[in-house]
Amino acid sequence: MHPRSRPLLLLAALLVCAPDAAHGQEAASGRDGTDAQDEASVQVEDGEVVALVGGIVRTAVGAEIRGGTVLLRDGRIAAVGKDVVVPAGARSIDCRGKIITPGLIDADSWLGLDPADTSARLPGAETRASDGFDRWDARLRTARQEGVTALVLGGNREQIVGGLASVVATSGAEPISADGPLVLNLSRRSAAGGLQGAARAESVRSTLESARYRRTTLERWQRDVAEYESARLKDGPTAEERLLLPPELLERMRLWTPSQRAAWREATYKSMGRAKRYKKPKKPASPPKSLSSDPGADAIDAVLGTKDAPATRACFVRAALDGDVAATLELANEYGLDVTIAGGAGLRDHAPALKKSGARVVVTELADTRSARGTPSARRPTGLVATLVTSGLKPAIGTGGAGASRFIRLIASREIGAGLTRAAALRAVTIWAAEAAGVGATTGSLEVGKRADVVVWTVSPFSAESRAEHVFVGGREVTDADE
Amino acid sequence: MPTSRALAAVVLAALVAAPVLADDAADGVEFVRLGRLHVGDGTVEHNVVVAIDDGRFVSVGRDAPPAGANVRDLSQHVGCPGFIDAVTQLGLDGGAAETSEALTPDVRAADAFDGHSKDLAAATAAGTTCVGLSPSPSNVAAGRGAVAVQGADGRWELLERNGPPVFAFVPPALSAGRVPSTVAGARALLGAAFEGRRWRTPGESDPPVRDAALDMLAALRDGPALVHADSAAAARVAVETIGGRGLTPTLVGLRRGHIDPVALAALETPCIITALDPEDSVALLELPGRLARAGVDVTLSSGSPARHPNSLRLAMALAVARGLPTSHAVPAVTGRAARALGVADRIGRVAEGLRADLVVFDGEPWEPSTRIVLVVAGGRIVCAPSETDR
Repeated sequence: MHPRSRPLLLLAALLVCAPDAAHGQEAASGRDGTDAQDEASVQVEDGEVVALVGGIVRTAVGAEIRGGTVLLRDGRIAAVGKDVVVPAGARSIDCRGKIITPGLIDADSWLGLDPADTSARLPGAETRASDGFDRWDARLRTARQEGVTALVLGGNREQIVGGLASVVATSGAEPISADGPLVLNLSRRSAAGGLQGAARAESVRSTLESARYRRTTLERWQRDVAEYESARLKDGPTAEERLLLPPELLERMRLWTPSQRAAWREATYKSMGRAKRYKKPKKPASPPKSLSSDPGADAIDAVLGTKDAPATRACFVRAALDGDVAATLELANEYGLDVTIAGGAGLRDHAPALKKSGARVVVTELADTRSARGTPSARRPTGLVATLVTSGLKPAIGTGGAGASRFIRLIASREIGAGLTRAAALRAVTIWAAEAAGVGATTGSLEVGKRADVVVWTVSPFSAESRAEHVFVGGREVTDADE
Repeated sequence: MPTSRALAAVVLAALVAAPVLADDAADGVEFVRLGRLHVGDGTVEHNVVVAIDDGRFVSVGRDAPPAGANVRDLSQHVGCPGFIDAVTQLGLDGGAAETSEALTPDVRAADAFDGHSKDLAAATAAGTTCVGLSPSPSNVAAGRGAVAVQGADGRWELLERNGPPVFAFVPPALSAGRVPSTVAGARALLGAAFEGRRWRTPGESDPPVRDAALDMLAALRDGPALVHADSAAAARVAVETIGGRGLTPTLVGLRRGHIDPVALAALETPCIITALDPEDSVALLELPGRLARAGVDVTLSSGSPARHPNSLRLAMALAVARGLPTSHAVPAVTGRAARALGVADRIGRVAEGLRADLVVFDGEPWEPSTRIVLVVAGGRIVCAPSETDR
């Protein structure tokens, strides 16, 4: 074999192997980053399998299954259905006559966050809500007793850019998603909407405009660098060199590093008095450091989307009034944002536009709790959730509070009294809440492969008299018995 | 005094009933058939027929109405007396609190009443047909409450102008800058006032207690009284001071979850828990249940500041979810509330002779998911969402 062909063969071999290697790595790390993280945190006893047998299964995605079984294995849902075979050795729980639902999720909460964190000045847009989450908050125990398995922590609620929302488990395990949507507050608790909202929308626009400018600047620089690198690395002899140089030298040139080649050329061409023929590529000036190394700006950058490159991070926008919602839709359209809009009465008139834009919605302001006292009673949007469902949207229900998260089932239940169907009410506090926070593929429904966030209720969770008999968060039973 | 009050009540009640009488004379007796009826005193009747005439319940029983009678068949539904929000500021224009002095027994909530309040209209739609208006608990003798009801003509009107006197043994009334600043001081001050004398010579910063106020307090001998107290000690002192006077106190505003229900039960005094909210500590949310199980009569009300009228139903749901037996849920917002306000002889139960205030649900009243099908006040339908909204 010719010695020259050996490296080529090696290269070919590498190329053949590469796809397989990459594939293997992907498989090992799970479906995505959050899953892998989660897997590590769920403490499942080796091989423990739990079978919830014979209950009325409300999956939050399909039809109700009467006499159905839900199988939990390794922190995930392993099977759901009527004819599920319970493996030998599984812990079997008789659920006859009981209701099995996904764990409830509050789509906008600050339970476990220090009230100061929800209003104080943030260090930067990359601040993750889950980093401020107090896993030992005593209210989490009540939340679990009331069947709540996950909370969407909607970050800071006062500043215009409120950091990154997170989804946390009420068991206090690792966050389900730490690095969630970017929170933008067009309305805030103390002053909703109006001119203030308009000013805030302008401020968001200027934030996004700078992000776009930064992106264009960085992209241009990256393109320049790439051009420079390719010019510098341009391999092999030029046509002229191939004609003039002896084959031995050409062969040796191939083994040089690009900088060795550049140095040789510079010296040789100069000595030949032909320096003009060889132009040394010029290194592009690096952009200002403030542009390139700013994690906050990186967090914001990801929300920008274009036709070819959709946004990689969603936005969670608080927009209470009509004008705020309109401004949000406008911004979403202009900057390619992927938005979840959390608001109240202002959503009603924009239902068709929201549907068209593909925005997700979270209805807050339903709790009229002490923390939402600023909301006048007349503004409480009675029947709004039902109206949005009729318009084809999938509204999640958020309390916008801390302690109120514990009673999301009762707050959702009032919407049933205002015209929402029971099936839609369940979705609003499970799968739609998960989707609004970007974890719809991970939790929020009883589907095979999802996190085992499951609750067994004595009667419908929307009855005040109902009790959560068994609560599983990430496959682990966290049922807290009353003393 | 008591006779004159009773007389005034009768006259008022007659006034309330008058327009109904005039309008309904031709219609005669109306019958409502209900699948289940929470009477308001804790009892439940099944398959009952309620007869209403002249704005009052004229009979409640199993007998079938006479042939050809005007019968509304709601046999799939559940009825209960109109809710009574015993302590609220709904419908009070600008509140009713004079904070200048510790003793203002002559401040009347009735004078701040606004019958056209939008909040009251919303309250009707939420099933509340009666509110107990209270002066804010910012003075030891805060003033007189009033009782307002949803009138048959759609407007709210006063049922009782001179409602129960309101006393306060809580921080807003015990302010550091004024006498008294402690529960013990409040007791001494009030004790003296009941005897018609000043507790001490006021300093320059304290305006003198007006003699008219002292006369008024000295004249209080019986009837219901609302007493704000938020600790076991304040509750005991309040009961001793007010109860010892011959008044029948009801404790208002216990908000400390760790109160020992047995100690409170020993006081044999009913309690009104105000403003239960999903944000409250679980200990407080479980208090109604614990008190009820210890034998205390528990009433729920929306309290102050004014909350959304729907919050009363949410408070019921929260209390039930955290242990209040369902048999206590309806009395807690009807019969017991009427007793605390001293109007139990006129409203608060579905019983013969009482004002015909009735709410009909498509499920149990304490379930937040049930809908209101019908609200009857003073014998007239004032709200029927199922017929108008759908």
